[in-house]
Parts: sequence; C-alpha cells; structure tokens
Amino acid sequence: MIYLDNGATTFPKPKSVINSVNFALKNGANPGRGGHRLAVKSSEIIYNSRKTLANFFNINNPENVIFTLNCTEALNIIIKGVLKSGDHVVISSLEHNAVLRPIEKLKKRGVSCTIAEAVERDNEKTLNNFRNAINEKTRLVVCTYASNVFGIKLPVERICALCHQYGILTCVDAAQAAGVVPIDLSDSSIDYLCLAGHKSLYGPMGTGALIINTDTIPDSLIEGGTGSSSDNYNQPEILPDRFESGTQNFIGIAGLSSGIKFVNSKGVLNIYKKEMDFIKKTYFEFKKTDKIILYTEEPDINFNVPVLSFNIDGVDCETVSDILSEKFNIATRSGLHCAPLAHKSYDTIETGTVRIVPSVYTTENDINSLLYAVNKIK
Amino acid sequence: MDNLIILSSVTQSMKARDILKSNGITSKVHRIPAYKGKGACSYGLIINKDIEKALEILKDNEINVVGRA
Repeated sequence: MIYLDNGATTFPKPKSVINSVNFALKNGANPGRGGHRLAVKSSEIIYNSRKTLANFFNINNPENVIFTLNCTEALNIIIKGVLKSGDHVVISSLEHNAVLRPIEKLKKRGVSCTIAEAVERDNEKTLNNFRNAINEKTRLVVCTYASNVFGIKLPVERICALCHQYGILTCVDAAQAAGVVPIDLSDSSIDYLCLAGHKSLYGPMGTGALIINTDTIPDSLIEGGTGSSSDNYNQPEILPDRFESGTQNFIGIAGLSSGIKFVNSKGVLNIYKKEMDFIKKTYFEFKKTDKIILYTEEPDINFNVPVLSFNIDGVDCETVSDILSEKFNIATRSGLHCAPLAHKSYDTIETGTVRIVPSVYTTENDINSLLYAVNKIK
Repeated sequence: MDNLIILSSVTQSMKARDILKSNGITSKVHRIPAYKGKGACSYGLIINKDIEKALEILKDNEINVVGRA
C-alpha cells in the first residue's frame, strides 16, 4: 500500500522501533515498582527514553518529560490542570478537538474562551489577533504548532513571547510538527509542549509526551499509584510522578525512544525539506487542473508543514479516499480530521477534504502514483 | 549501612546517579526498604565512597535527598 495517511500515524515504523518494542515485550518488568534486576532494567529504559526526548527538544531536566498515551492526554493535563473557573483561554482558529473539546467542557464550569484567527502567510495579522483576544483574565493560550488539515504553521514562538509579556502561560500542540520541524525549548517561551509519539517521532501508537518548560506545575489529571511514596495518600508533587499514575506504556515508550533516534539519524531538517518537496510537487500538479480544489497558497517551508488537503470537484471526499484505497491501493484520510475549527476557517465544514501527509518512507514513485490515480478519478 | 541515600523516586535516583558519575563518583540505584516512615516505596543510591562529597554535589544540583540509611 502507498501510505499517505502519516498525519494519523506514521507507517511503517522503523525496524529499530519494532526491535525495541519486541525487546521490551520479552524483557519488560514493570518499571519503577520493584527492586529486582528486571524492574531496575525497565526503569533504565524509561529513564533513557526521557533523556532522549529531553535532548531532542533541548531541555536540561529529563524529569520534566512526562509520558502520556498521546498528545490528547498531554493537552488535557494542561488545559484542565491550569484553567479554573473564571479564567479565560485563547486558542487559534485551527485547533484540533483535542484542544477544543476539553475547553468546551470547561466552559460549563465557568471558563471563557476566545478564538484568535490564524491568517495564512500573515504572521503579523495572526499575532495581532492573539493580542486582541487576550484580556485581563487570560490565564492560558493554547495553539497548534501547525494545522493537521491544511499544514499552516503558526508563529508560535512569537505568540508565546507575546503571552509572556502579559504573564500568560503557553501551551503548544506539536502533534503535527514534532519530528518534522526543529523545536528547541532551551530559549523558548513555550511553557508546555504536547507531543504525539506516533506521528513524525515514529513511535508506536499509544505514546505521547508533555514537556514542562516552566516552574508552574499544573494540577494532576489522574491520581493513582506511582511506585513512589506509597504511604502518602496524596498524589506526589515531584515530576514526572505527578502526572504518571498507573503502569506506563513501557513497550511503547521503548519504541518511542528508538523512533526519536531514527529521526535524529535522518536529520529533522532533511526530513522536513524532503517531505515539503513532495507536497510542493503534488500541489503544483494539482493546480494544473481546474477539477482539483486546493485551499491554501503554494506550500512554503517558512509557512507550512508537509500536509496537504484537496477535493475533486463533483466527487465527495470520502468517495475519493475510498477509490484511492480500493482501486489504487493508496491510503489517505478524508472528512473533518477531528478539526472542525480548521474546516470552518477554510469553508470546508460541509464537504470535508482529502488529506495527504508523506513520511520519511514516501518515495517519488508514491507521489507519481497518487497524481496518476487522482487524475483518473476526476 | 549508612551509605544508602534515599531519593524521592526512581527517576530522581537515576538522575542523581548520572550527576555523580559525571563528577567521578560511582553509585548504584537500589530499592529502599521502609525506613522510619520515610521512603516507603522509594529508591535511592548505594554509594561506597565519598558519600559526603556526593551529598554536596547533589545539593549543588538541587537533587532533593530525602534521607540516609
């Protein structure tokens, strides 16, 4: 299968990731629970995974890397752990339901929200929209690093720097960007970085992380056994235990560590350039024909991540994906991509779109096959 | 034995071990038995040499030492 649904999860996974998962399955005892050799060995694997992530995003303290099930859990920890009744939050017009839905729930508990419009190719206007959205009660700004539907990159560092001028905490959803765009937290105004382990970090599904880059530690979302201070009825304050209750996805975390090493071996910028070239080629070929509807400007590495949405005039998006899959053996994702706000922004809420996202394993032939297939459908 | 440093978690223990190693002090991560109510379900480091120096280094690196055993 020609797999162009890497925005949902990357496939295939590198051999090293599969090997790490197999090793963990065969050798894994529960880390951080017992004192026997196997338990300590598992704890080492987890700790080394933390260090790998800490180094990748350039933070000093591995304990500030919190492993989660996915990016959604990381976002929920921050949104629900920071915001209290009476607080105001600002989000962008491109946010995923992982941001929108927890905030919708909190609205029923007295939290208010303003959506700041993200303006394609105009970072000044976008920044201004965030500035105008902030008020005296704004406690947190949550924004996506890049849209999972249209690939638009937000000027997140500038948005976060603006927030810090007002003493506002910042949370960035890097699900679609981590591993494909270099992110350095060492000199960053990003307070909380939320990651999907299973997309461009090439880890298994069921992995994610929250990186805390501030001294403001949110309230815990889930309380339970942490393998530490068990005589204390209260959830520990220390990191990462505060946010890691219950048995962790040890096997997944082992795989995620190998995924990051794989990304490092290829070079994040090399990956970014290669995948953007594929998206640009696809865009240019699609643009040659009137029957293909495109929604964004010409992809540019300064303003986009390698994600492209389109439609074929007169054919609904789900049918396009179905034909691509069944007739041409090409995997894409159609619909609203769990991001109704983004679709509303681009007026595709009624139609949805077909989305393609390449990976490190995508070839020139794969793109040529996609172009051939789409040409046949229209 | 008085050469067991109690730390607050296995993550802190491994971080402490790495810091000591980079300062030339060898230590081993060890599960701590319940000790005077502190450290129930906890981890620490066995340090056979230079324990006072190790404690200084950990203090300088803001590693919270919960106790000694």
